[in-house]
Amino acid sequence: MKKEVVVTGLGFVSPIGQSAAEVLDHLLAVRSGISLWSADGFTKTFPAGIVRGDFDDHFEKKDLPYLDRITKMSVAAAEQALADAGLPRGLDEPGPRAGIFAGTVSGGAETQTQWLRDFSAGGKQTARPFTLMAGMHNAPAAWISIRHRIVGPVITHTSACSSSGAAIGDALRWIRNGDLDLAIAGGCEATLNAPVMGAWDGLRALARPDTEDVGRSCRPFSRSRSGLVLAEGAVFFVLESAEHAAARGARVHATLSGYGIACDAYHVGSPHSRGQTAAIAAALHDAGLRPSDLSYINAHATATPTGDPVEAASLREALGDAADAVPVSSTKAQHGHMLGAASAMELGVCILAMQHDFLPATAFLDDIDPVCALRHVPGAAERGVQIRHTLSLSAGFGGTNTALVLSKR
Amino acid sequence: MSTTTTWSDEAITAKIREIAKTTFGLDLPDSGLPIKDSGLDSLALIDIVMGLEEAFGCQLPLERLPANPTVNDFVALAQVSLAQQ
Repeated sequence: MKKEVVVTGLGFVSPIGQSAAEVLDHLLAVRSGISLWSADGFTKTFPAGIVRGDFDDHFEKKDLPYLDRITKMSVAAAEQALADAGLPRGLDEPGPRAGIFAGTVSGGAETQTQWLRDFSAGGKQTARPFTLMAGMHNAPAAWISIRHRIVGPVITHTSACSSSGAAIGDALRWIRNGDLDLAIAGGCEATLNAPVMGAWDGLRALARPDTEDVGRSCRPFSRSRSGLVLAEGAVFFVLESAEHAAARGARVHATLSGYGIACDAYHVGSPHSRGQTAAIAAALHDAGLRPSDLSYINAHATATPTGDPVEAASLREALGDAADAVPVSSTKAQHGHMLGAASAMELGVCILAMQHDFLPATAFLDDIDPVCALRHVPGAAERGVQIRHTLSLSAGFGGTNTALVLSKR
Repeated sequence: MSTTTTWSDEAITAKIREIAKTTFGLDLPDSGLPIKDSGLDSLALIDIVMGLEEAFGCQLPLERLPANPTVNDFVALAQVSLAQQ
């Protein structure tokens, strides 16, 4: 028999807060976490979702050379999630019944790019001995496992911007099938450096700083949207079987009730509705729900000219008759596009919305693009709304889409 | 062309301790005790070797270090390498 999987711990390291309370505060007030990014030797500036702090105080100094920024943020977020779940020291009895599932696009990008700079421009022929390990994609998951003595599957997923959706979905399946009792699952990204910004700029996909208020630079679904705003952060959850949570008296935030994953198989950099609609349909089927059962959808919507209309069409197709009734928003307007952490961040937004009875807004949406017509939540959060079931959709370059469904207990 | 070694044992010891302090925030134990006792691992030892190589401008044959080296072992290795320059 398949087991119910519940969320018992939340950990946020994000541009709109480094705790659930701070993130909630930003969402309710519709306050932007976007600020101006610049770098030495790089002529352009961009809006970005920058996380404040270096998180060095979570580690012994002897370990710092091994740690890329992505790992520091991830360990901090996982610690927060475990503490929230009432497991501050990790697991007292390590065993194969717990795992870690992390999503990232670029892994230790800061370390990788610094070494390339040293090699290409600094005349170095040999890297410091910890460079390779700090730059690995699986470094964040590895460090969380070491710190919390988690010896089951420790797996890193990468499917571009749906990476953490796939990681969380994988964790759901392991627990639901009875192969694990508990998992730390989520995603992470730390790519706010000049070479990565330059690569994204080459796509002509990045928003320029808003001339009046840089905090308003990301405008999903708006007629005036001009591109995505890159962000960094790490968001991890503690997931466990409902019976495991009950046995240890844990507080439950929500039930993770459905997961769908599907690929566009269309173009490496352009989305197609068929993958998105298939992921949504699969997640709803998995949760045993109809589209009209959904109280809220957190869309992927990055605010690119071509992506948002494709997603709006996907949602209309997937929701069918319920398309004009199910509220949809993109909170990327506030926290930016956290890439490998995006799905996790947005699932976290859904959990907070469900717990605190509100519909998160799409900030700065005062001029809805008709080609993105949906039941929007423009400008202000709608309070006093009971959310029974909610879905979060993510779409990645390469075509992999994930949808996660949460249900209230 | 050979060059004259200008590094005393004390200066090399000070350099090793400086690298460990700067990079890893650690005060190394007595020069006759194993460095790993301070919590540094084998990769950290490689980093100390790299720091010495940078300071001295010569390669240190890491394979000649004992499995669990002391600061004195590093000093001896450095002196041999400097003498061969």
